[in-house]
Amino acid sequence: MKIKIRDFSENPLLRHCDISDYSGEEYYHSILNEAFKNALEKKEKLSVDLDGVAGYAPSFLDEAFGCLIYDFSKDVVSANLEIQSTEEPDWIDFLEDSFNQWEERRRQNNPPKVTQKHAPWWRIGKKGLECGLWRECDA
Amino acid sequence: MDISNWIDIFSILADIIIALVITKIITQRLSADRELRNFFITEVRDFSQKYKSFMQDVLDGKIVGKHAISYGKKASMEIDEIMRCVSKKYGIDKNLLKNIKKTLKITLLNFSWHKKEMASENVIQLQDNEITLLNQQHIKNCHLFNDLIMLINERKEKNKSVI
Repeated sequence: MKIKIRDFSENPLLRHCDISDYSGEEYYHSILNEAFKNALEKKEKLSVDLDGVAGYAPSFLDEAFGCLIYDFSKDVVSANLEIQSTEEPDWIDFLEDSFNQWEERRRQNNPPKVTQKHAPWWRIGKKGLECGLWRECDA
Repeated sequence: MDISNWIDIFSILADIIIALVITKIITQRLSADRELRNFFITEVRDFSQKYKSFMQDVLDGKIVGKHAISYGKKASMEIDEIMRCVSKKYGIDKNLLKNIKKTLKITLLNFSWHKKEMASENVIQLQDNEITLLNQQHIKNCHLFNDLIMLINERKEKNKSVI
């Protein structure tokens, strides 16, 4: 299963919805979370293509993929996600580091900020996949 | 003249022709090699001038946030392409300019201006401590271009092809 970030926006911007359009937070809640859940259900790997956009701010990628780690754990994400980029492969290394930091955050129950109301989203819990509003909106 | 004299003359002529052909081939190869090295050096020099000019514009508050992101991507791709070629051709470490990419993509884009100005058309306004950090990184980075040019000049050819 493959998705391309450029289908979301050719100009992805910042970390949170309250400071920019096309944020990492928005991408996670509107596309990445659901796509990853679908891939898990189908027992397929989700492939995310980073190419074809104007460029990335590190905060966009950190938030989008960091929330995924927080909701599904690094082990589950690493086993079921493939990030591709021929244009800027450095971001793949950047995200490897970011995954470790987010896993640590997950262990310490330090949730990501939610700056806009989102529809219920998926996470992996003790009984498997579950859908809900897992974090309060800070705005 | 007897046959042995003719053989000697023929042998000398053959040696001269072989020497001329070898000299011609070596000169052509050296010239092609020099031309290619000059090409890579020009590419590195052009890139370094654009990079220095961009960094100066950032420090002077002349760059719009969105342009910093697209420049970061373009510059990163240019670096990757130059380093791919010189690494294959001369065995130069392809991560030699890694810190320049880091400055452009991580340091600059994580600064405080980013939160406020990036989504708008406003220019980047750095804080004093950020200017200091960026300047320090920039100065460290600048010698990398000279190192790369020296390596392109010095290193023996590793591969005939760079494709």
